[in-house]
Amino acid sequence: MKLKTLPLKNLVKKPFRTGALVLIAALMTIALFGGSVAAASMKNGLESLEQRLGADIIVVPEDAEAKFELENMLLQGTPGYFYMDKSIEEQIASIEGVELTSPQYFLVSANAECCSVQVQIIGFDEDSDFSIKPWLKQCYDGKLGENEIIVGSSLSTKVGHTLKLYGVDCKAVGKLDATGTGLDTAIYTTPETVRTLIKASMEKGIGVLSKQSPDDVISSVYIKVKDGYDISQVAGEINLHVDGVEAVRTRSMITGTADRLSAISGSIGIIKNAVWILAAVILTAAFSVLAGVRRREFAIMRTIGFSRRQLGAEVFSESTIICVVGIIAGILLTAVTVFPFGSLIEQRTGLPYLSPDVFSDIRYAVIAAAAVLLTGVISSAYSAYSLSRADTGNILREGD
Amino acid sequence: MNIIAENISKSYIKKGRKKRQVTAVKTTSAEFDSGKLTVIFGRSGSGKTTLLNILSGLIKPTSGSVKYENKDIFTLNDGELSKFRAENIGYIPQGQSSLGALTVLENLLLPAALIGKIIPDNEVEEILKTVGLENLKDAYPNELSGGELRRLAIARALVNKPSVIFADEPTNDLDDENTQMIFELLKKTAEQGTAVIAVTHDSTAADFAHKIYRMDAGVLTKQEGIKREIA
Repeated sequence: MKLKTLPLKNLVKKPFRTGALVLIAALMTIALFGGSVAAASMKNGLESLEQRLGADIIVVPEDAEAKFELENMLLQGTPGYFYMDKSIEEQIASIEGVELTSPQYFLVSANAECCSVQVQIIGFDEDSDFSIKPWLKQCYDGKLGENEIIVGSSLSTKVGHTLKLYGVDCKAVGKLDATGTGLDTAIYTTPETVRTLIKASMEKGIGVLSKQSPDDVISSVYIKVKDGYDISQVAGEINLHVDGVEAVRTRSMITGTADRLSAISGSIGIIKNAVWILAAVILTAAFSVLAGVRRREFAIMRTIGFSRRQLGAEVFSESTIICVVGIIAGILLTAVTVFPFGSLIEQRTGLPYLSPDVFSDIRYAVIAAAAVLLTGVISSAYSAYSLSRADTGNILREGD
Repeated sequence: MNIIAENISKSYIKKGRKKRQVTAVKTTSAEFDSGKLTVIFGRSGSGKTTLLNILSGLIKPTSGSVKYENKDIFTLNDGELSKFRAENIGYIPQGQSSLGALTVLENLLLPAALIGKIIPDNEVEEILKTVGLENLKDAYPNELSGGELRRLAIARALVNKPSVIFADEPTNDLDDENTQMIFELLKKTAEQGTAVIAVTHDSTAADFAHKIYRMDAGVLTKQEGIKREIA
């Protein structure tokens, strides 16, 4: 018989009581850890989106659908395409305050042709691009050749494999890191390849262009504003002087998303804290009830020679074991629920969602574990005090 | 070990509709010697358990002192007193007093574990045999009868070979056979050099006692004469 095994034996001998308390500790851990990870994932997703958009202004056709389609494309991965005359880029470049312009070309893969769903194809001009190249370089440092593509992280295509797009074999030469946005399901390539694909689509009778030649169109123009110029003013100038386009401040495009993310993060925070407080109250109540139930047990221990300090330590040991088991269960449950379903959450909420890196996850887990442990100790403090200070004589005097 | 209680008394406030002060033990003095079974008789509510708890250091008297070999145990702090009690005192509480999460063997060895003492297997077997629990060492308390539980409490009080054993109603609700067995065991333990102090209202105890006291309404009186009549 070893004294330090006593708390564990007490817990094992009362499996339902222990199980219920472990469950509360586990729920508290899930709320704190899972909530922190989910909120951080959304924050990461937004930051990642901001970084990857990389432009101050995006210009799209003045078509009412175009801006909406662009947002859907970026945030939810809903493929889309629209076109405008390529001469527009020159007009934009001549507006005062515009430092850099780079055109992009959008196309959607044919239904179930290459992948289980339609994917977005984005063509970018490697010479003028300043928004895609910086993060593209992380996975591919060369120059994209004819019919070479780089695939988003959510696509199952591996580097070196070939995808058939409109009957054209396209070789994947790189795969991007996850962004937690709609960009994860996109394919990146050169304008030439996009034109080849548009022509191929026309040959197949599923042309996306009716009158214009693929060589004469672009989908959007990404703009970097010169230092010292007001971005809103430059966007206004473009809208004023260039016909048939809409210049959108990148930041304003994601304001709605940021607001929704902020609201959801706020809700997660409220739920997290509510569960925490509720669990702390339940644990305190449970430990207090147990203090009443176990008065005689502790009085008997006192007759054997346990000091008040040892009795208090016994209560704290039991609550610590309960919390540690609950924490482990909670972290494992969070790991098998929150992490694997990140992309599902992204799809369902339509919001960028990027899981934190392993070190951040560990940090959140450690903080959640410390909070649960501390809550457990504080919740059992009254019980420990009450049991260790109980008047042994009074308890034993029953029947005198 | 010689125990001297000098002018001890115990009063406490009884909570109810009206708070009132109750004197459980009126000022009294007594001496308890090694090698003797001292029995304190008294009716329920007479204050005998309170007296036992004061003598064993579980509750502090309102006045007076309790000295073990001239050492006043109530001058010790809680940690020191608990250690002293764990090393020198065996206590048999009233009623069921086993820890339900532990087996018979684990319950038995708990006091030894508390002071880090290792009891040799043969001694453990001997104690279990003495109380007739040698075949139940792996059983849990909820599998034992009332008599077996009481014998387990006695075995646990004996395991550290303490200098003093206190027994509070050790035969309450037990049949005659178990009652005889327990008092015989307490007497035998006393005759091996331990000071054994038992409080009871069971008159059978008188047949085994070396010294008898009577407690009435908080007043302790030493009894002399024919044992059964005293009880």
